[in-house]
Amino acid sequence: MRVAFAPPEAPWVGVDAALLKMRRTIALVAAAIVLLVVIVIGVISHVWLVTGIGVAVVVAVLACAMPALRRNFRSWGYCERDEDLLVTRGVLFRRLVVVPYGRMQLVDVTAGPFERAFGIATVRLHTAAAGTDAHIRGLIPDEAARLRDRLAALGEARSAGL
Amino acid sequence: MSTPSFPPLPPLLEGRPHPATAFVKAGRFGVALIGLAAVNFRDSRDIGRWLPLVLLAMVVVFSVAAIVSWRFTAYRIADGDVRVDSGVFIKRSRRVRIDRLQAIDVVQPLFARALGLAELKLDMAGGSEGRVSLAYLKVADAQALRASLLAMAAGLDHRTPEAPERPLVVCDGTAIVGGALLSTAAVIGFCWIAVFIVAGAVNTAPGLLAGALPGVLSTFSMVWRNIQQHMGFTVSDSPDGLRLRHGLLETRSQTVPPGRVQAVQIVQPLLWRMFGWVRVEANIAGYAGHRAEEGQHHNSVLLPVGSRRQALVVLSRALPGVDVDAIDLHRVPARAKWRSPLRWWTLRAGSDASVFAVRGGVFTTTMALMRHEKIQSVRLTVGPWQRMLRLATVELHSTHGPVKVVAADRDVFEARRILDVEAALARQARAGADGERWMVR
Repeated sequence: MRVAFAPPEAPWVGVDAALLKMRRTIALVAAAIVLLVVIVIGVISHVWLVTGIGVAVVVAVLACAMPALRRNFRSWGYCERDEDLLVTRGVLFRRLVVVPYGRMQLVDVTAGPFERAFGIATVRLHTAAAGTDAHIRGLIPDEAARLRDRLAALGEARSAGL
Repeated sequence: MSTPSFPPLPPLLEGRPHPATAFVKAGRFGVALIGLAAVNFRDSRDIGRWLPLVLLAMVVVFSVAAIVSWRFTAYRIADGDVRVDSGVFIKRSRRVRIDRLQAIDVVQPLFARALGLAELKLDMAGGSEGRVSLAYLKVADAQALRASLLAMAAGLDHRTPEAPERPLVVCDGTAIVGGALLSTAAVIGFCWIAVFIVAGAVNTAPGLLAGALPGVLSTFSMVWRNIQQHMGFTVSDSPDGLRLRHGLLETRSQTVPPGRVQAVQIVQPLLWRMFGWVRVEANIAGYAGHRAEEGQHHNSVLLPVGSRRQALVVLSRALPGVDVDAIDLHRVPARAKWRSPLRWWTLRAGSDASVFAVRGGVFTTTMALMRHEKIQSVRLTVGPWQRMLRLATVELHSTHGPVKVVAADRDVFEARRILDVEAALARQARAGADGERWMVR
């Protein structure tokens, strides 16, 4: 299985650790809010058994989510070749997408509020096909801008209509 | 891509829609309105008294609006692009490059047809936003304009006469009706109706019969729509590309220039097998996006129903130089039965020098073909269940349309090889494969 997702020539370029940090923070904050609600309900209703189960569930989910987030973070990778870009991601559902530069219609760089707070951005490639869901999360802004400019330039140079 | 300089354009290429346009638009609206009113206000007597007046007022208002909007619409064809200006309060000027044209349709809805008018639809890549419509023109003007646009798109002078066309396939009327009645969706609809009728008869419950009514309506309207759209389907070949003419009440004449077909599939629903009928559909970039607006994939159909021989004739024009039967198709490994127990034995994939092909389906069999140079991107996916079986799915992405080229449940190593080979072929073949200005290349 590993061979099927092996990097083509150069090794996969991973994404910035800030992506993992961001996702873990979001998970922790979400868990903290749920935990707070559960405890408040417990305090009001005095049904401590149910509250205890609730707390245990939240903690268990969090305990599973932390390693899962790490594995998902590690699964991200991209590779710029001379003629195309390869992007891989996913643990349970592994994906590998190849987009020839000549097929790119536009390149988006986006950064949501959380991404901005952690200093990362997402680069998204669009072709004429709706099925192309090639995007790279967790790029530091300089790398995102470099990638965008390089891809746009290559896309223009190799563009071949439809 | 610089446009050669042509002499000043004749008045044909500049103008506004035919004055009767407003009448056609208001008329269509009026008919719809009266239908709606008849259904909704039939029972309420209070409103009923005022109904004719209200309707009349609405028709008048809409007619005035239609006339004003007609007055503010103008088109102009010059310098290699088509410009359409419209809008009364919000001005809108749309300009499209003729050499990026993906397809041209001449459409005649029933109302316009009665007045000898036609709508010219120009389809560009980019979905519904990339579509320009000139409505309505005299039929002769619409056809002349289409000929000029195609000549310009081909890189010729706009005064080049319309290219001669040679009919390739004419669909049989009985096959179209039969095909519509035996399509999978129609058969499911009939079964659904039958269940209600039987249940109603057994229980002597008329309520159940009434429950069948929506099913009856939707099934018959679907069958009717199919027949209406495809009756008289004629596929012709011309230097401008494939020309498709069809329609019973609303007639449509589509022209797909050479090299605009992105991917093709041959489909055979279960019950069509006894007659040997197949359907041919294609992804054409300009036809993306507005599927929802016009319902189904009907303008992506290259042949609604026909024999396999007819399908191969159409295919030979849509994908010149491809021999469908000569492509080496490979089965999936036997362990794929644990993931796709029903269809694993039908799944095939393979390629030759110019196309990649996949075939499969238990009830409805589909064979999809795509030229290597038309591939937009390639994706390899492995789900958890596939991982245990060492299987993978390879997807070749095409522009929006009915054709999906997915090679499911291949062995992982084979899947990766397909990905690498297709990515390499896609960029090699792309170099000289552009469809712009096809006559002067």
